[in-house]
Amino acid sequence: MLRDKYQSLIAMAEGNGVADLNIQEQDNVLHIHGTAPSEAVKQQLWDEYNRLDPDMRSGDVVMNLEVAAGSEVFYTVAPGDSLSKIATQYKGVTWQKIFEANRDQLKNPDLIHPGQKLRIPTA
Amino acid sequence: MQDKKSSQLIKAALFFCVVALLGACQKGPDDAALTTSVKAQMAAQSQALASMVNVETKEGVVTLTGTVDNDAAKRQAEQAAKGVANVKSVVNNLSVKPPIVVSEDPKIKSAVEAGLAKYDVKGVTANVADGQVTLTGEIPRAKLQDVMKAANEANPKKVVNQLTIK
Repeated sequence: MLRDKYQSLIAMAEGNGVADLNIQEQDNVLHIHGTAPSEAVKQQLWDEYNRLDPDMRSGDVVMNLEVAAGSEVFYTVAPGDSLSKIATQYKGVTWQKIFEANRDQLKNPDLIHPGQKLRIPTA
Repeated sequence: MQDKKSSQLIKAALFFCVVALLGACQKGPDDAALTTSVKAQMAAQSQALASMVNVETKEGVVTLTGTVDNDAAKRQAEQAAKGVANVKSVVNNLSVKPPIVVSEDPKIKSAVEAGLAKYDVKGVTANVADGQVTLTGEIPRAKLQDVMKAANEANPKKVVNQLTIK
């Protein structure tokens, strides 16, 4: 069963609040359909799929994930900003949460550049 | 005298208890053990299958309940149960999920092309036939996920990646 091959991917989808999740094997393809709570979760799932199938040539997965509307807002970095300064503008958001949500573009939480568009996760 | 009589009574009672226990043993493997064996047999073939199927055994008759992905999985679960020694019969009450409905070819094609534009990918051709997307062209590895997202999100039956990854 393809569910065994992609067990870690399924567990990740189930454990990260993907809504309306339907996982079903049909005609030797594992379909994973649902709505991810954020772009970051969707990306995490794609990275896991990519880890299991580095060249993505197996042709045995169709992962069709939408991202929940209004789950995120964006902030454009201004000169003199820091993650902690930005975090103070959003209720319940810490600089760590902003860093986590932008790991795709930030390697170091102390290095942000004016003009960068940062994802602000909902609290 | 009284003491001797009561000790004889106790001995007799113990004897009957032992006989009764032996009788129970001769009935063969009990239902709980059969349930465990059926589960183990399924798990040996597929952990995922075993986790989706409930097994109950009554007097050697195994009943399967739950929901599985497709008819093949339903048959596989039944065969696994039938392969366990001392299972008298299998009642297969598994239900199968309704099939996933994929989009029509022209809709898939336009959705993949819109997706490629959205993810800003160039140099990729998507051919669609019978619900299947076949991707060709040359892309840098950094764009692989984006191309695959564009194809996967068009609600196809299958995605075949024949891209040259630089």
